[in-house]
Amino acid sequence: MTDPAGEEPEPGVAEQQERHQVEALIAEAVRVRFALDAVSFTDRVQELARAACRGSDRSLLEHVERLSLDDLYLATACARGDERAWDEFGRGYFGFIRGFARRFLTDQEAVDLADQVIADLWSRGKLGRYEGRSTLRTWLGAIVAHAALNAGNALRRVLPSHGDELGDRLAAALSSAWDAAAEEAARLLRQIVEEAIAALPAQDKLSLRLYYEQGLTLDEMSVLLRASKAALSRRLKRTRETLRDSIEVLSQRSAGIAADVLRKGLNLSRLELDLGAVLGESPTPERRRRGAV
Amino acid sequence: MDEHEHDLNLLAAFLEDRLDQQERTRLVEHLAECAECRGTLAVMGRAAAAGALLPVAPMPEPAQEPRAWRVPGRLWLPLAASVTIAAAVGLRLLPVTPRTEVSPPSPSAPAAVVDRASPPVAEAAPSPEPMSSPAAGARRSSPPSMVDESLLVKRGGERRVAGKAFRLVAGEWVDVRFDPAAALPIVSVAGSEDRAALLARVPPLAPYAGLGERVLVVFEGTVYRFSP
Repeated sequence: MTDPAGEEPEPGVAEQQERHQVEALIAEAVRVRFALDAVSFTDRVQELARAACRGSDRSLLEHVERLSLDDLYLATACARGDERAWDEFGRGYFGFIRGFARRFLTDQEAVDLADQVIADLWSRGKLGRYEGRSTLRTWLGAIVAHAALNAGNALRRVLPSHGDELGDRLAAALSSAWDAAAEEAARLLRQIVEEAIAALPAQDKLSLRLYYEQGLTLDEMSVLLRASKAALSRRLKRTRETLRDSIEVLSQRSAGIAADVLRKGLNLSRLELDLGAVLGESPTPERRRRGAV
Repeated sequence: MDEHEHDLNLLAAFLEDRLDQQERTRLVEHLAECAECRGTLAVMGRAAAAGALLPVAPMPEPAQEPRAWRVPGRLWLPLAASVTIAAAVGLRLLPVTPRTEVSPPSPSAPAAVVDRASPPVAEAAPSPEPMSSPAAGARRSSPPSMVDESLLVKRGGERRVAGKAFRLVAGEWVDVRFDPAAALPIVSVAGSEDRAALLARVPPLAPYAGLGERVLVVFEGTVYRFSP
């Protein structure tokens, strides 16, 4: 409420207004059904929103409007030890956690991983780390995926490598393609390739890594990056060409070690730079269909 | 907090297209450099493209008296030990009380408040029924004319179109009334030609199809799933 002169409300009044608005949003979206009362939950929501809005243009209220408030209420109640909340969480999400793990692990590994994730969520209060910025389901999926990747061993049999070795592997393949003898040349090539990748804009770098390193299809990337397959294909082609050009420029600049390569008259642009083959991925049907972008 | 734990909140929000431009740019920059987060994102992307992140019906509540929450048998002892330790340092476990609250909505429950302006429908309503705290007694509600549509559009990633509410799940707008357990017939519509042909046959679907490239809508007892 502003004063009649139209000046800004006092800080205390503005904070009260903000709190009332947050309470109204919570009342619309949340069924208070556990011991966690509306006041305590509002405190939690405001705490999360303030942290998220620090250094951002977004207002606290705008942030709260975007939250999955009922999911956040359930997760917060679970994190505070509410057994009824945990019951509801179990009914709604245990099956999902187990089923999701089975997507990329063997049955027994999936059971083990899911059990560990569930135990962590409860005993280590991990559910309290959920911030409501997505649905609880998607966040749990990310938790399971992250845990599975950290577990590592089973995934290496199932998924492409996700190591940050794009530059090394590309350089190694280029070296072998040229029959380059010098170890120093190989080292220099690796450096050149890493430099070329590092110079890419973040979006292009991410697209390149998701496609060639993580092995995503264009369909999967279009879901993630909110772009059409045609646009992604064009971007990847452009990025590959940029990479090729950068590697050529950088190698020309490095006299001496690369001189034997240059003396042989090798022209990088003539190399069939099928990055999929370069990274040495197993020839899955998707890869065979994909070929060179 | 582990930096990557924090990123999982942002990663999940990124998947659901709920970051603002500033956050999205920062996250893309991080993802371009962080193999671990990139790996997680890739796994989630595959799952999302295969529909694995769509909501499923929760398990029903047990008919008998409430019992202790189930914990995988192998983990019971270590978990019990950690719970005991937590109790010893002041964590208070709440007693299980008889279930007097409204249980999660059944398939025949009336629509949630975000859709109260629409006529009742037969499809399931997985959204929780919002109400005031139990102590306040009767449920608080406001007449449809006081509902702020702009708030509904932004709230919790939901969007309201032509009387239906949709939630963005990993890039797909999903009708909040979609219940996989209802086993309704599913019509998959891929590509612009098929989309145009279907909309010519079923014009009322047009507003829903206009939400985006990927939309899942329940209409007259059939699930229509649009994709590019």
